[in-house]
Amino acid sequence: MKCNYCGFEFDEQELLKSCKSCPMSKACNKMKCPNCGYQILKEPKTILLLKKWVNKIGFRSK
Amino acid sequence: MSTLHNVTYDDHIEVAIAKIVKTLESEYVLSNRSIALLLLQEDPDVTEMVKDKEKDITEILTIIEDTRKNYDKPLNYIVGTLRQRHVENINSKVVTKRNNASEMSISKLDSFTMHPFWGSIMLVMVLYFGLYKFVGQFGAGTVVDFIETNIFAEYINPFINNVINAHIPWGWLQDLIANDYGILTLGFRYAIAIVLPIVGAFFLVFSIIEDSGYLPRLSMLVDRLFKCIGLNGRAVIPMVLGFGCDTMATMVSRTLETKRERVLITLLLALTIPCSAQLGVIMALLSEEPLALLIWVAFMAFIFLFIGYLTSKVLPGEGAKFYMEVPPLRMPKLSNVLSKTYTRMHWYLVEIIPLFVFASVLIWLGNITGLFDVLLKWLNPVVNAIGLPDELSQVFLFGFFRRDYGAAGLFDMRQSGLLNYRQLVVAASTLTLFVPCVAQFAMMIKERGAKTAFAMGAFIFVFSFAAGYVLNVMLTTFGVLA
Repeated sequence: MKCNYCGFEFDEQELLKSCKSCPMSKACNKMKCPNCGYQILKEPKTILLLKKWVNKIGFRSK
Repeated sequence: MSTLHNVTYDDHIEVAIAKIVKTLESEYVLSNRSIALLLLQEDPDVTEMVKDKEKDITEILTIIEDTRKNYDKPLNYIVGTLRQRHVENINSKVVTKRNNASEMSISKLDSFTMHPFWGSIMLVMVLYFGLYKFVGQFGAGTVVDFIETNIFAEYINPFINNVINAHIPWGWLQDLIANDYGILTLGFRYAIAIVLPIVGAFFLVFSIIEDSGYLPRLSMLVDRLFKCIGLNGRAVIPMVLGFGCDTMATMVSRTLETKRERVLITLLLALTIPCSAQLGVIMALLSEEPLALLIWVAFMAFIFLFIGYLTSKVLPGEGAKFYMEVPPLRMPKLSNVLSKTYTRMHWYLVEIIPLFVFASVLIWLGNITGLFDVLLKWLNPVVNAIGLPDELSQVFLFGFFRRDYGAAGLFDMRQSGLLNYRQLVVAASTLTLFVPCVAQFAMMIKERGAKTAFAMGAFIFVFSFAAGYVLNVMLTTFGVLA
């Protein structure tokens, strides 16, 4: 994942591990760039599904 | 095959490194040269470690201090710049770049964005087309007008009122769901018809700006200005996020380096930065009369700089240093922009609807218990003193529950022709400065502590009305917007 502010690339899954200690992590849909602290919203499930679907169609057409 | 590159710094730094290396007596995992460089860059962890390991570091601190005197910029900035020059030198030997027309124009645009003059012109253009034209005139004007007048006022609200009043015999329950302050007719109407289109338009513009890589350039551009008020370019992050939601931005302020900066930004966010919905509604209200909008912008900018400057003088401590690597400027990708806009709108709707319903229930409770009337009676003289009618007290009270709820109330009042442009500018300015909403206030307590948060809240309450009063007197005296 790339930070929208500073362009720093980081592993989303690694970052989410550090969120687990926060009591609000289950309901929270934000992530914080480890480099600059800019807040990034997690993509909603609908967008992830749509991306998966588009990728599948893309592979089939190839 | 990899090659070890030793960066050679300028004479002052090289001499300082040699002197520090000579003074170090203990063993470290890193080389003594690296330790010396980190000490010169004032790395807090390494400084702490050296303090623990060495018997006396007074000599080292004197060397650092003497070296610092040779430059007008912080040593970590100087070291970083020299390293970057070294990397660029290696890069130029091994990378060949093909210059095509689009890359050339992007690189020209890139240098313009950070230029003090051209960068400011570009910023004004971004604000004019992005916020004024698109969010203010199109989103909050055309779209809201269509949804409000053609859908809600014509079909939805009359239908809900008819159904509820015909099928529910209890007046108190009818008022809770429908009529003037009902959950469906007020809470949902505010959320869906007024706030959502404005916020949607704002988020679309924000996503384009964010995806283009303009934000870090904005940090560099405003760095010098922000230094006058005790902040630096890094403060652009919470500031920009504050235009989305001030509660979220208050939380992000913890990324700033010093406590002084964090207190300063929390106060400025609570006082002068309107949230997305508030900004959009104010744009919609004032964009019909450009002079009114100009007065509001100038007044808010003045308060921002004036309070920032005064607070930075009162709060002890030095300003923090700032430098950052600027990522490349790029053409925004449509899929990215749409995905980011949808994500933000989704987050906003999920958060806003329960809060708007809750605010409607509170207002309903306040109305049936008579508590609201008492609070409004207290607020009325203050609101009258700044030249506004009694009805505006309700807007200020709503605004404390939720900033955008208050702004939507102001929008409603303008639609019914209750305010002229002078009153509108005074109301918009006072409402922007007014005490932050409940959620932001709770975040201020959490981040800065109850004492600081309550002190800020009390200051803001008094200051917002005092500033509104002064603005009203000035506009009336000079006959502006009469």
